Amino acid sequence: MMQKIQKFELTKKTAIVISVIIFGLFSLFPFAWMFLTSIRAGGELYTVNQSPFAVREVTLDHYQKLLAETQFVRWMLNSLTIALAASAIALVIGLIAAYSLGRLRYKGGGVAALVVFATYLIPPVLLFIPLNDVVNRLQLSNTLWSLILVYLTFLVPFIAWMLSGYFKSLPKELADAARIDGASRWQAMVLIDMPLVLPGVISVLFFAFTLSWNEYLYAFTFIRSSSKMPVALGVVNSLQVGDVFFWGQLMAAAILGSVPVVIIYAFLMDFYLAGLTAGSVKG
Amino acid sequence: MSYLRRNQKRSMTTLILILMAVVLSACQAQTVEVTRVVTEVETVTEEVEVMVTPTPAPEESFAGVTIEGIMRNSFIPAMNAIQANQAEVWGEETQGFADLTFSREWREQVAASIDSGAGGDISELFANQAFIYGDQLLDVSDIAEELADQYGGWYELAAEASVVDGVWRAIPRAYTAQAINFRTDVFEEAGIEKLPETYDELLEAARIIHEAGLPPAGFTMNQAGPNDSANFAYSLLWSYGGSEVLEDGCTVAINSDGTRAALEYMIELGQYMAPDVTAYDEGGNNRAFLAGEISMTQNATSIYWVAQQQAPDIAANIGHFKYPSGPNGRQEFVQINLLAIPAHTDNPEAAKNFLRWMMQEEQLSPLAQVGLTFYTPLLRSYDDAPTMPWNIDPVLEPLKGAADGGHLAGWPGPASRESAAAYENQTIVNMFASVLTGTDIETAVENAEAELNAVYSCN
Amino acid sequence: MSAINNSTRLDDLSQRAKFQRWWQTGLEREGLFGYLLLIPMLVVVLGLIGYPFVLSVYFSLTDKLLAQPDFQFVGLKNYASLLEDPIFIRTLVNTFNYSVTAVIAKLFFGLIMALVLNEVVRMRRIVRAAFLLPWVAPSSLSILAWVWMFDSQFSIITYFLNQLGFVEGKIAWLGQPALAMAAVQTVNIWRGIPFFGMTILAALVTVPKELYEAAIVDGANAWNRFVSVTLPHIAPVLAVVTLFSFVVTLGDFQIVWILTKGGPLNSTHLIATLAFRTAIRSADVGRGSAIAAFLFPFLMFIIYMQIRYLRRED
Repeated sequence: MMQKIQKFELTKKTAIVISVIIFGLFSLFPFAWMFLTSIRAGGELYTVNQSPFAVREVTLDHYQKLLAETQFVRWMLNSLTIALAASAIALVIGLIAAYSLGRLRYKGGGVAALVVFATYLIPPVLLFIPLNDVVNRLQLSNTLWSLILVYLTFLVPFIAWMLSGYFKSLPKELADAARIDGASRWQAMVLIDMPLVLPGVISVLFFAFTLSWNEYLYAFTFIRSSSKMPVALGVVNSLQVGDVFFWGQLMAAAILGSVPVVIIYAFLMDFYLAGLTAGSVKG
Repeated sequence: MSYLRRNQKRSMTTLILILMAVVLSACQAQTVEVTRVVTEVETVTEEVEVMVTPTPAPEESFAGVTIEGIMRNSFIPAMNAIQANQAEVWGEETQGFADLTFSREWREQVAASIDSGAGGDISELFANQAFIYGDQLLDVSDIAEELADQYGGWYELAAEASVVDGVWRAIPRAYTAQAINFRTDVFEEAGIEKLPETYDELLEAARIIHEAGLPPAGFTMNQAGPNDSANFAYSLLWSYGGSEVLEDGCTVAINSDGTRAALEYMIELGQYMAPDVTAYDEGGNNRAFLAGEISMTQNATSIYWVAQQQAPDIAANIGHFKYPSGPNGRQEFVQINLLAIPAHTDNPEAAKNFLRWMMQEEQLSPLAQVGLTFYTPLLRSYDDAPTMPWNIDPVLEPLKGAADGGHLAGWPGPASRESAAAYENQTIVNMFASVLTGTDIETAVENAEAELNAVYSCN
Repeated sequence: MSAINNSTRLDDLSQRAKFQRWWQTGLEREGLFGYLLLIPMLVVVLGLIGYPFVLSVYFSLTDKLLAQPDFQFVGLKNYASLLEDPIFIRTLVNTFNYSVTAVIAKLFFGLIMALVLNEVVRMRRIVRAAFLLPWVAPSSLSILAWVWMFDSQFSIITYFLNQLGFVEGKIAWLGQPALAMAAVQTVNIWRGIPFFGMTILAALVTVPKELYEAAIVDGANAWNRFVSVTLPHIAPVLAVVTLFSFVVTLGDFQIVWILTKGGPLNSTHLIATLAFRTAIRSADVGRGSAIAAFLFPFLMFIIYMQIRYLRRED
């Protein structure tokens, strides 16, 4: 019996190791390939079939060109500005709305929750044509603000929806006790309930940041000047021209453009998961 | 436990420090390198200035005026740099400011700008877009007439692409001269002495090369590579007497013997081509050619340009010849770039001044020079200008005057929104691609007819 | 004069005080407080989503062209002509095929990934971060890596297959309809698995250990434990991520736009890419809006499912 269990444990372990390797290869291979392409000399691309993993001549040329001859650093800063601002604004709006929807009871609350839910499912492709009109009326065309504003369309409903689940799951007693002690509703909300959803807030912030960092369609429609583009757009826009792809630089940009998000996740992964855990159980 | 946490904190701090260092050094690198790029640009323009007289000063002053330009991004970085530099010179001479952005998706951005009535005081248009925007663009007939007087008149194609209801809505700046690119060494090895002038001879050459086991022909035929594919597909269709519509521009006419003949030709050619031509994207044939996998393809001069930079052994063996002719003569599809001024602009005078100025030889000629015929004016005096690439580099000589006998999508109908839509649907390309992947001719024609009927209508 | 002034000021003051009192007590009322907190969100929802949405539906009933201010109401003409357009019918089928296949695959592999991750003890942080990478890297850039990997001549995938002896010669990944569809689905799945994996993992962590112990005592094997303990516990999360992902996948634009532009032979066009091309490239805003509107029945269905599910939960 004992032996059997040990044997089972052993095969289970091997199975897990094997699956980790398979998933790891599948997930990471494109990045490894990007990296290899980014350190190869341009001419080597056309002989890649002979020995794909040997790099005859390691060069940082593509990185240097990317940083020097394109506005890559500017694009990164733009992306950072847009993603941070949009996530922060969306968080404030979404958080108080979530509190209202998840914690308070009043007439029409259910309907409001439904509306939020439905809007969060409307895909950008239904909206980008008329949104162009809205952005122009606000005279925000071709500015970073246009994207910050427009990204609210998918961030706010999402955040409100996710966090209202958290608020629903909170015990009411704490806040009630505080209210009996004389705290106003505002105080009860800010001082008692909101700190309790912090893990959730962190995880939706991650999510919001990632969504904004990666967005492409709106950026593509609303931004015209190269100096105002976020990185996801700027790179594609400048480095694939007509029938010429600057592969080395493209891949160098792909590597560098992924770094900030990856670092955040690598370091704060546990928070993210903790947030998801708390939230997902309650849906 | 607490040790662990401290450790984490420390690694976090180190990481942040490293990051900051990277960003800082990157910023530094940027400022240094930018000056380098600018000097490069200057050398280019210096060379140019040796050849042409200095720029005439625009008479007017536009102090405090900013015009925004949405331009097509070129695969030759120097072309963007030259234009940016010219914009600066214009700014100095007129006290105005021209802010040009070069964009890969310039068509979408122009569309968004015109639709919303903001930005893009100078907008670069593509193909028959002048017909899509029509009277949302300023009338620039006066500039067009001046330019015709100055530079020996326009190619017919110029008016076809810009005159909407009798009014010039855009100034055609340049077209992309296309040709068949081929490997001289492969042709030699196969014993082909006479360059193909008709489609039959082209087929014969492809057959000989195929049978000799040399790198085959590879003509892109895939909607992920719309420009190359359309160039070959429309030209072939027209040269065999087929067309998508009649001259009225609304009666669908794809169901014809000419179309069938062209499709049969494509099937025959397909036997001798690289099998993956239906998978090439816009750069697919470039890469295959540069890797030595194919020896003949349709393209502008981007292969030649990249080869000079990255594959000198291939560059030494590149040749071009004109699109062949068929039973219906030599009919070539031409891609054209135009400059227009949206009617919503706040600064029509400044924009017109800039447009007129950009079209002067002093500005346009350097572009055409660096552009290796990728960017060729539609004014006849350029044909024999000594500065034109085709009069300098013998490899480019066959591209000379490629726009003569050229047409836009929808020919023989007039350029229209419908023909643009049919082009965007890539109906003609897909018709040819489908017979390459096994669809029979009748089905291919039927499918194309159904797609075209969804676009064109006569009422 | 000044007397009058004074009295109005007094009035002002008392009114302000009254207002303050009313405001403070009002804030204490659950309803008013609740509505006030909703206002910023409602501005966003109505102004940036509601208004454009209504406008979009309205455009779909007109012959509006891009950049042309004048247009006419044409009723359902756009919709009717779409149903006769072979490209559009093909696109509908593609969209359905693309979403269903990709979502099922993501769910399946995501579940496995979560189960595996749940067992990983050593190097946990690194493994998780590595698995998450495809989802967090900017997609327009990572998709470009796939363009290069699916290149018809330089594909590294083909290279491996050749080396392993599965296939001879080159494969036109993006050149044949079936392969091209598989290729765009693969990229979508690659990007989507981590999202499923992490979310499901988060739910797995919360399954009480005692349940497993009880099941082991009852003699349940691993599979039985999974079916009778794990699955019921994580079912709600599975439902939520599946529906969410379904919505996102239905509206997908980027992968196809960068990888195939809808080709070859329109075999990978999705509603989003076709709508974009029609409205912007072909300048037919009316028709483009109508194409996008065809997503709506799908979405309504999903919303309905979600609501039913939520009701049951409550």
